[in-house]
Amino acid sequence: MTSKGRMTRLPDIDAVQAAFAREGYVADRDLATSVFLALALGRPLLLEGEAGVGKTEVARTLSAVLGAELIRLQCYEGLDASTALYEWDYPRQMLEIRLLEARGEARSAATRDIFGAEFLIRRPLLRALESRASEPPVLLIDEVDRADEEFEAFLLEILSDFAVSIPEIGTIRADRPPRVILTSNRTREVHDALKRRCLYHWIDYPTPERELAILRARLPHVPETLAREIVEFVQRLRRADLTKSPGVAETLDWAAALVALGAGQLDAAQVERTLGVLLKYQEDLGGMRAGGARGILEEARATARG
Amino acid sequence: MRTVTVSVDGVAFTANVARFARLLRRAGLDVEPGQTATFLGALTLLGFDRRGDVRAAGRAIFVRRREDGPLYDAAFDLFWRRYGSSGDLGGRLPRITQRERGASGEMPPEGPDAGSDERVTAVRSDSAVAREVLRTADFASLTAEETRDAQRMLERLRPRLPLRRSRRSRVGRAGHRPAARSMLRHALATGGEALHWRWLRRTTRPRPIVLVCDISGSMERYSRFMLRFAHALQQSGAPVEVFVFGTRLTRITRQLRVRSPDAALRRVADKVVDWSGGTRIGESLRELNRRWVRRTVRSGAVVLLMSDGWERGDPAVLAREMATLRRSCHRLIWIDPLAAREGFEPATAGLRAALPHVDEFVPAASVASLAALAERLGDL
Repeated sequence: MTSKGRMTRLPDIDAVQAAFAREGYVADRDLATSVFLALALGRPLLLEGEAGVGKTEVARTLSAVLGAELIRLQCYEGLDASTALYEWDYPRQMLEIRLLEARGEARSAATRDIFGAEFLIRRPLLRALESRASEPPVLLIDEVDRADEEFEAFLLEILSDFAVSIPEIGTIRADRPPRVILTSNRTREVHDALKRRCLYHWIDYPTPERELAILRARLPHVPETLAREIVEFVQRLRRADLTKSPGVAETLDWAAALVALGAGQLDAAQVERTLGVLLKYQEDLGGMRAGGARGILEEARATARG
Repeated sequence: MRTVTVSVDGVAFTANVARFARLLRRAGLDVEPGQTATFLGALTLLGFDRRGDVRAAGRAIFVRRREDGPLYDAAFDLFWRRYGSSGDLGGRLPRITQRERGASGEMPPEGPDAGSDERVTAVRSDSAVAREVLRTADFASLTAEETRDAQRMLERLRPRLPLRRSRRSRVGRAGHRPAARSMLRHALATGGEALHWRWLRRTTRPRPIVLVCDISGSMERYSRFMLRFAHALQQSGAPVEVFVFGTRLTRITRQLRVRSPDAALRRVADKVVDWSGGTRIGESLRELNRRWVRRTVRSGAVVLLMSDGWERGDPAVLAREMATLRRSCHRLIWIDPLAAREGFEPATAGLRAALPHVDEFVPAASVASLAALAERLGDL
């Protein structure tokens, strides 16, 4: 169940947490446990959560921590094997045939000359399986909920044996399976069969302390008071009645925006002007601009200073 | 971290993990033997130094959707209370093995932060809902003799399902644009000459249907039929999501997913707590808009809302939520059983607030009218 080699770099949960922190990702212990188990048990990890809570970032951080290549497959409706796995480079094959013809060798040319590895266009999944790097790659299957059910079934197959057969070439099997991270925004429920293959972790919005730690880790140049006020404000905003609550990504964007505007602390006018960075729905923006933001700002400032 | 596999009685340990899995199953989680085995593997890796880690590991393995999280946490706490011996330290896994063996082994000391990551288990709070009639109706007893025939007829409905264009295309002899790749591929067989035209053809997929059914007191005589209609829709293979509401919204898609309609309705009756109570359509739709729309209504769903529009809440909320819902779906259809009556006027405040945001208003109070609706779905 466990390969000793991969345990050396991240031998336990603390090591995962510490390594992630060094890469600027503040992971809580539950997330670190899930990541550790996914590595140790060789299971894919399915991360679900609202948009902007740092799901994709987990994969990026993991690849940095392990010094492994990150291979990303962005899912969308209609995604199929030829864009996810492999495809033959038909135009090049045609050219090759013409060349052979010109040289008068077309008759003697065997299938393998045209269906050779050099005519294969490798898509993310195949690249992840074929990788011969010393460190198996981290395969990020992003927003799997956007792909359709047909693709899920196909994915399930790949994730169960980490092998694929290409009729003209043969079976390609991963020496060492890639570490797989799947993310979902939960626009629909991912099929149970796929979930069964995976470990599951729901990433929630961070606590104020953790969000402040994330802000400090990511944007060290944000003034201390401002950082505190930003976090308090966003935390309160999430409790408000919104169509879409701001994620951590929005917090970071907002902090960067405020710093760019030269803010040392939050003030009402600036908040109002930059609110569009945090809120992306007209209903939410309207409600907050109509006065909702002002009350939240007062509270946030009081808490941040007290 | 230390691994304590050696000091643990393997048999008792395995038995305890199996018992824990059984408890989870009883709590309503979908636990399979494979997961239990994975959990065993995880525990041998992690040891039991920290209760929080054991809990997190179990959560990663046994929980597959967010809603199950609190259920798992509650079961975890219960298990450790029941099997851990009494006292403040009661709650670590080794205690169970001790109990099973009737002897104390060398158990790791409590981790530095054990206890700090304890959580208050989430208990469904009803305090927010004022004067909610919490009672579970016995669905079987509601079934009257004369309604049986009508129910059978509903079960036999075979709706024509609405379709939408898919992003996927299929290669064939005819279509809307040339399939270059396929043509070139086939051209390889003929020495590079593309002899046959091949085309990409658009494909279609069934449109998701979202059925939202009012089960409040005023709808009592109709909601049973509506649910059978929902079941028939689901059995026809359409991607259907079903919700019911009185004072709160309940998703019953999973409960309906059994072949027999009677069994399905029994499962629904077990799940739903606000049968025949008051109505808060606006609040229920709000819940639908906030929590479910992005997961179930996307890809251009057809939303069927069955209600008589008797709203106890604020009609302004209802109007706002109807507007939001309409923006996020393909068609919003209001089905009103009372409207089928002679001399009907949309007089209720709720209905008047909702009607401007409805694509279609359909009176339906009989098998025939529901059958007609099922037939028309395909054209939406």
